[in-house]
Amino acid sequence: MPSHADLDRQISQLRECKFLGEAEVRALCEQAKAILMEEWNVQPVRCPVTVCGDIHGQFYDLIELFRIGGDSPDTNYLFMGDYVDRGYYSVETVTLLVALKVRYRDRITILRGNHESRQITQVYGFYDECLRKYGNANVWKYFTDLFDYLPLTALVENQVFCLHGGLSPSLDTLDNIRALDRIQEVPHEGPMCDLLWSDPDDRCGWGISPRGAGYTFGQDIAQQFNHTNGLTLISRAHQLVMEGFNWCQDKNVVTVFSAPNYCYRCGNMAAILEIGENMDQNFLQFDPAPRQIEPDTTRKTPDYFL
Amino acid sequence: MVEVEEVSNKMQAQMRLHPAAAAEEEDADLPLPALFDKASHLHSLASSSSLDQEGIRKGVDLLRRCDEMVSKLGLFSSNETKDDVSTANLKYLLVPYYLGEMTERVAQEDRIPVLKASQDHLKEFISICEALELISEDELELSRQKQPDTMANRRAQKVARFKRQKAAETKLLEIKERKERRRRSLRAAALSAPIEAGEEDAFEDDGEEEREAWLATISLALCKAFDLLDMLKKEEEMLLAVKERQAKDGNAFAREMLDERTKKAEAWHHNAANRAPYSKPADPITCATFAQDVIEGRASVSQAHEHKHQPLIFGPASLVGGGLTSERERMAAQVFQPSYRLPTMSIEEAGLREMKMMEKWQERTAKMIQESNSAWHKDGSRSAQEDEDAEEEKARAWDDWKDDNPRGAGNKKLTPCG
Repeated sequence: MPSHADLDRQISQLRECKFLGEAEVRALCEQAKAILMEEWNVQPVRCPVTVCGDIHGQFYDLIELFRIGGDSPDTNYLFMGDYVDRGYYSVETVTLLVALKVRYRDRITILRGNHESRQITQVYGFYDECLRKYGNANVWKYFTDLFDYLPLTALVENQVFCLHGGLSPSLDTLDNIRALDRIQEVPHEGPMCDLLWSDPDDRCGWGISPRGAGYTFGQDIAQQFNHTNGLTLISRAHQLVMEGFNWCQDKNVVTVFSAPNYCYRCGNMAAILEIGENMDQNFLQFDPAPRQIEPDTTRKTPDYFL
Repeated sequence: MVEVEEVSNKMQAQMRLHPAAAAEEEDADLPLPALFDKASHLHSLASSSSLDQEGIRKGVDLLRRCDEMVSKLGLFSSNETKDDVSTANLKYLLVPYYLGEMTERVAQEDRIPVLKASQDHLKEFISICEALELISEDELELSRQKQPDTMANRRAQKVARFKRQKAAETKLLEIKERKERRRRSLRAAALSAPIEAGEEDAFEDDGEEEREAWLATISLALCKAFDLLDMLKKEEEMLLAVKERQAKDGNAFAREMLDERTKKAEAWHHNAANRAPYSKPADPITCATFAQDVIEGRASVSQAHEHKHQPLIFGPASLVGGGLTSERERMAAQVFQPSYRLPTMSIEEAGLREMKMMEKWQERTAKMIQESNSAWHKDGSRSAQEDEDAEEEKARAWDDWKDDNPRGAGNKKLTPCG
């Protein structure tokens, strides 16, 4: 078991956007697995906490997020998934968050997003990035194995329900969610898939999602869910919103998106939701990090170049 | 051509220096038929690859002498046809073909002169045969007709040639069997009652048959010569390309190539990432950082260009390092691809696509809400009172539902906070 000194060194290395060695990643993932295994499908979280949405490998914007919201572990954080794919630094981003989780397990909660999956990462960039940076797919394997252990949802002080996607027609209650067997690859359909893929919609009832996975749910559904489970709010991520956050369904649901100028192109703002000691809610918006530092060019050349 | 001659002279000189040369001296006075028999025996041994280099060099030398004799004797002339050539002489047509095949088998440090010499012999063989009208019409047509060198044409040519080859082979086999059968029956007849007249008949048949057999052999040789010529041409092209590149790059060739490839790949990733911060929509400038970069002089508005990934070609060093000049090289490079799918669009393009999806979704719902509202208003029969009633009914239903489903009922299995 590496000491805190080791972890601290790794964390400070990662903060400089320098990725860890393969063996270090492996050890880190093993430790994180042990920690996440003990967490719940509906992981209880205390306030104050800052809730964040998609990061998508935009490492320097994550650093900017910590600058705006306060550094970890001084500020408690709850991340709602989608750490990898799209951006240029999925490896550095997810490694930093996992390292922080291992070092400060009670100060940071990391949930699973629909991109924390083997199949999705093979198509949307994380797999390629691992190959590019390490020359093989081992690191991708360590991380995707770890993703199976991530909790699906979190509950802040029994009031604010946080998850990546949205509700599922086969899950009416939090108790239903607690009963899921979550330690597996995200299935193509079913309750676990819905939690990571669904979106709120302006139409009532359940609808077919244009994404091809999950459902759309109307205000009536969210209202009933909040009532049945004694909630005040469903906080979720998963959707690009131009202001970084977006209230909908009569303030039953809020979308938080924390990747500014998404894909370095969309020109959107990012936001995080601060939940204070008295459950007061405050959104902090931010722009992309002022200077994106050039990627490290000393990376290993994958085997196929030889 | 001069160069080739020089080379073949040199080769000849080398061969003469060979220890086997002493033995050859014994064959110096052999007449053409004996010489040819000896040479063609060596050739058939070489074809079954049971001949060492010494034997091959000897075979080449013998064939060369045959060739000299044939041309000195003036056996074939370009104003004749195959019918003017006597059966006994037909086989000497094969000399340049044998020479071409044997020469190709000579092992030597520099293979290019070998290839050139061999090709010359094969071409000589083909041109004599053409003059004597021994080449089938469609083969000639194929080589004359300047058809585009497409895959389909090449394939058709190959198939036709293979068919001819097969036909010649069966014919030869047939003749051989027929001969064998007759010899057996002759021997049987000779044992029982020797008949003078029959023998004469058989001899006549034999002459016709022998001619047929040699013609089939030549036709078979032609097929093989065309194939071999194609192959040698390609090999020569390849070797020349390698030689040229080596001459250019010297010994550090491989190392440099690898470094260059690594650098190329690095630059590609580097540039892609590097351009990203500036590749934002130019009009309007919605990104604070880009505007800031423009204001502070780190970027100009024109830098807000589309960020497109250039195609990156993978493949073995030898192919990727040099320019992909020929179709063949380009295709070979395409064979060696990474084992996983490459991105089909840049990250920025993907982001834009997702944004468009979001916009479309929002538009659609906005339109639907508008439509339902307008329908509501158009429906003149509904009064304000009815609206209120509907609202009340909804509220009552919600209250009833809440009665049936007490608040917080679904969250009983409370778990302790971390």
